[in-house]
Amino acid sequence: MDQFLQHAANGLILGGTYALLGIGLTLIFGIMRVVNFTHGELYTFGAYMVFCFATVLEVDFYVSLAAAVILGVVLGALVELILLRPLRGADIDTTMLVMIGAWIALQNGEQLLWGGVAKSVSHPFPAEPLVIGPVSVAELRLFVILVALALLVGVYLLIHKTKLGKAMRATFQDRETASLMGVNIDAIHTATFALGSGLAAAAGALLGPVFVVNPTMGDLVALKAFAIVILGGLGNIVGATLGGFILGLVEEFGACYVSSGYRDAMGFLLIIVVLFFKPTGLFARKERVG
Amino acid sequence: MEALAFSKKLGTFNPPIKKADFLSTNNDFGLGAANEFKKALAQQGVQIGVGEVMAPEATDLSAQIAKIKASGGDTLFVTTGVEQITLILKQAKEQRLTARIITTGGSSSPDQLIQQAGAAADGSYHLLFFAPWYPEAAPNPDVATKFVAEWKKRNFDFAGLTEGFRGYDGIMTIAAAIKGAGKAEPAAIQKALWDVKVKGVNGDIAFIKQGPAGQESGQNVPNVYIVTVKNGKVALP
Amino acid sequence: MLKIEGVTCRYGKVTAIRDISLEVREGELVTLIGANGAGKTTTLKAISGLLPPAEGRVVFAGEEITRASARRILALGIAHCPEGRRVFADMTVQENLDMGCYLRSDKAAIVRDLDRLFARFPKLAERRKQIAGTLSGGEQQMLAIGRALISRPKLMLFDEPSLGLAPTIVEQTFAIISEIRGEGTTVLMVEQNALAALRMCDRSYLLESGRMTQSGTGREMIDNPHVKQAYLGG
Ligand SMILES: Nc1ncnc2c1ncn2[C@@H]1O[C@H](COP(=O)(O)OP(=O)(O)OP(=O)(O)O)[C@@H](O)[C@H]1O
Ligand SMILES: [Mg+2]
Repeated sequence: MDQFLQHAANGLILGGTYALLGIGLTLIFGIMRVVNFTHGELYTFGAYMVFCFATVLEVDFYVSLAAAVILGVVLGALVELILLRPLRGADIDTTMLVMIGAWIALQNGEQLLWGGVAKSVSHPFPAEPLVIGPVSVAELRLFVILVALALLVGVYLLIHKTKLGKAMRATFQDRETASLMGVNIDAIHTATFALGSGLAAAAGALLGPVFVVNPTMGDLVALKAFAIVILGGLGNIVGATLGGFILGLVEEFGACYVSSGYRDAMGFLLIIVVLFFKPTGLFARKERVG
Repeated sequence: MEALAFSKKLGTFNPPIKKADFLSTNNDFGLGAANEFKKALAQQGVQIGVGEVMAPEATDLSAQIAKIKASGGDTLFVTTGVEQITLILKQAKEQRLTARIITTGGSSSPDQLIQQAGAAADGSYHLLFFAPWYPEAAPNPDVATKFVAEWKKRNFDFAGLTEGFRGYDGIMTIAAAIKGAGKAEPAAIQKALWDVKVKGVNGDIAFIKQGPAGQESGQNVPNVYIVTVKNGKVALP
Repeated sequence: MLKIEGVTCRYGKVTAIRDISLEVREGELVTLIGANGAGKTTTLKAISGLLPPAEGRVVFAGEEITRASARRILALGIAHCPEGRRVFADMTVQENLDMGCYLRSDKAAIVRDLDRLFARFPKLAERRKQIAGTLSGGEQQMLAIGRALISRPKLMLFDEPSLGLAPTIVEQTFAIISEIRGEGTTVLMVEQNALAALRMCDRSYLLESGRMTQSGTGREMIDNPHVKQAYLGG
């Protein structure tokens, strides 16, 4: 039972960060329909930025986090403006190839800049964990999950309650009609991509200090993000959030009660099962059209 | 081979190792080492707990660690690269895993661990094939001392020594075999390798035959060193 | 109020309309009739900025809007209620109407206009929180009209508002459009239902294969032998 509680706590914390990655990608892949191979690189970028500020330049940790996220938003906006805008209306193959190219270029850029050796990020939290009954949780992880939850709620409110969020949803449902409402379609594309990228960078900035930072850290994570988006139904923010938590718990309990060797395969197995029975994802709304 | 050499040094540990758990990467390097250690330790009467595995690129190992903690062994053998060892040390601390952690495979570069894992590295043990902090303790102190001195003279990274000696020993072994063969022909060199005796940085290098007759592989019994981390510094246990 | 002069529009290499000219005067209800594929929708898109003309000029309220963005044209006072209703199916009724107010920032006035709109379309008021995709066809048409109306346009473009609706709903829809015109909004309407369109309009234009072939008052068009034979069933 003690072990069960510890696993549940671990799974929930992991799930929160997965959810963050998932909603960032569901905005870009699910709503914009751009197969975004750079998502993992923005995650890596966020982690390196917090390393650069907090560890190398010794800036305050919280300021470093904010700076990493803001720079992630800027990088996302640049990718959209430079690579995607000229490709608007191009077929999906072309866009996909360009995004794969961007992924490789970004990853190698990080390798060139920081080297291949993993880096640890300094943070103000104690190494000793908080002990709650039979469960131990590092304070840093607790901080990560709280920030992740705040971001999840924030994004949900942004998409569902603000003018910008409504314009985003309208644009990706029906671009032409949205422009008849006076929406600046180009600006919405840039804003959405930048927001999704900022969320990936936030996930990287939060998890970098928990794990270590290296140039290929984003690869597996990006793969999982795609899994979460598909699990939750394309473009579904709540679905991606729940999908993230489900994946975190399945991995954790699967590793414990099935086999740790298949831990990372567990999520993909889950997708196969879900897609088999419910091809639109777990939480897709029925009346979804177009 | 490493496991065999290690099992002769079990007396180093106090309190002694009674129950061992394993955490290794899901590949030949990790699984092979875990199996060898399990066999060697069982022969010495050590109880074997759980054997957990992980993908080489996995970063979150909390599930494995929680399970290892529940198993309740006094020692955890870890076989993976230095990055994952860093993660394991940190996450073991997060979950208050009290088992003694011993890394195998010689790839653990303690200096890098101290730098990356900080205080979480304290109290961990590392099996190395060369302990450049103590060249005089090597079986061939003159060779080892000279090698470390040359390395420093050339301004190479000190952390690279724990791995770098392999290249040196390897080249010296091949050179000795070519000399023994008397000519640069693959078949002759291969044959000469069986008779090579080299004083290397790791220790005396010679090959024994292992495996089915006619297709044996050459194995060398390496020297292993056990180092530990005390107060952020490499130390002998 | 609106003047189109010699407009040609192309989709890639395909020319959809060629050398079209028409005029809508303030307060008028003008209709544009023609067969499938004649270019009616294209003409409306040329006006609202969705498909900037390759040649010719579009002038609205004295300002040239030939190459203006859809956003600018809406801001000048032209709302386009598109063919097939095109409500945002995944958004609620209220959110669809919010999108109609996208360029407005006069909060208090928006609240008043919404109240008026809901009084006019009580069905929408009941279903404010409902996802638009689950509305009936007629309700969706009301929503599409409401969404265009709430932007407070001077000129409204309707593209086949009767499309796919039951006869009673069609009647209701035309009644609402007449009402809107009665309140002082100028209307340019595209309709396949030629007889109804000609009866309710002040003037009308006939498009055939991308060219303007006839024009006149509603009465003149109904009496025109060519129109009668080809579009009014003899
Ligand atoms: N997106 C497009 N790409 C290429 N050709 C198009 C496109 N849209 C319309 N066309 C062509 O332009 C011509 C005019 O089309 P338009 O939609 O304006 O006709 P319409 O009069 O509105 O017809 P309907 O009554 O069926 O709505 C048609 O030949 C059509 O095939
Ligand atoms: Mg049409």
